[in-house]
Amino acid sequence: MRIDTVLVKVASRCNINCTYCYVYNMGDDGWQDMPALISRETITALADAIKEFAGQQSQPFATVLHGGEPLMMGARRLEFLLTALRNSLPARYPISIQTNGMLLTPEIADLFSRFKVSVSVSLDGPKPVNDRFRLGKKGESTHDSVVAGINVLRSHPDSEFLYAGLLSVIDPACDPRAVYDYFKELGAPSIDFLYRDGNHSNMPYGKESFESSEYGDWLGRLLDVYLADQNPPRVRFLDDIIKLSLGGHGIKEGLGDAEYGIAIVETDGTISKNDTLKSSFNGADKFSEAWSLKVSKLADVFGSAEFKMYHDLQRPTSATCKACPYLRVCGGGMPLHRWRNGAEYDNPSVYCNDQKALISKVASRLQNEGLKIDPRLAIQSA
Amino acid sequence: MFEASFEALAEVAPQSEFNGLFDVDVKTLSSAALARLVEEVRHDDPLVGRAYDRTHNRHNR
Repeated sequence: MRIDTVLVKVASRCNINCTYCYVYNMGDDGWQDMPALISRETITALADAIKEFAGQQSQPFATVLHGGEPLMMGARRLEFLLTALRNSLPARYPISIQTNGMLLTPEIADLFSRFKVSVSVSLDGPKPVNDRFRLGKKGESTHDSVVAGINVLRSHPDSEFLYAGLLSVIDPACDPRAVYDYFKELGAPSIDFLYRDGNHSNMPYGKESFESSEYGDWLGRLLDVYLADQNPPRVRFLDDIIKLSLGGHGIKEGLGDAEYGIAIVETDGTISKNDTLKSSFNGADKFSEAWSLKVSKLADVFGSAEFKMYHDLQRPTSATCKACPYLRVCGGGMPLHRWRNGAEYDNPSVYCNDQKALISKVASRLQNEGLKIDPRLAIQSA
Repeated sequence: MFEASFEALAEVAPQSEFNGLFDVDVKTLSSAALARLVEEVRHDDPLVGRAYDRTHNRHNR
């Protein structure tokens, strides 16, 4: 098993309150037990642990700074963290941050440039789309402050490196063209769209039933816009499905057959599972043993039977998925989307029909261009 | 540095599965995104650490 991402929760609190957030608003309360910010002591332990692990795994891994809102740690502690990380990891080990961008300043952008940290900003679309769910703690708009942060990145001399892209949670009620055009206006070099968190026992917003395909239809309309654009940014979700359909490989978790390996480090140094599992049930991201990188060696944790069981969760287990002709592209989706109270993760993704609708449409578009789809996919094009 | 073997490469992406992509003239494709992606699949190689340059969106959150 290879670890490709060590995701570090440098802040367990957030400066805003998105109504759909899996960390705070989907039933998990683990954040309340964590220090608000990662301490200097934990940072030092983290840097030592990942330096040791980098010497034990031949393949590089990425370190992703995450939260809560990671910029809540402030410039001074951030500089301490980045100094420690870069002293432990050569430049070929990417360091990146996922932020809402509202606390981005020129000083922080300078820090990121100095330590080679690329930045992805969360924004759901134009103001009316974004401010439907991504709200401040008093229900106020966040849009303008986020865009101000994006403009800090865009105006920085190192913007080409710093500004990695935008991350957007899909609202199937909005117009995908309006979102796409807006993100292009904001100069996004790369865009990623996420399904809303949810499962069979807690149907995602905007999805009427397991059989419906609102999200797949939305992504299909986005596909039309994307393929008609003569100067498109990268759209990760669509790129992966197209490449997989052509016989290539994707890189995203929850699509295709590539392996991925992620470990989460909490603000106190505890190691936990993929944090998106929090949306399944309270504590779903916790291992039975509270491993801490201050005590345990990362290689020992990653080599344990329980970590392997968690890692293997990425592969779908349901008979429906195993027999599905779409599986090589679909991948069975994210484990959190497979959850059902009782049957647990042994189900197709709640987005199964959305995936099928989109993959069929992609196959159809490829065939219309004279391209042949991967013969391992016995799917019907739309 | 990378652990995948050539046997694994053949298993994951044998040439036959590229479906004649090497014969496609990308200039004839109507979509700029498709032209780029066809090129990327042609040069797709599990031995290359392609996922480690910009990794923000490899994991969904």
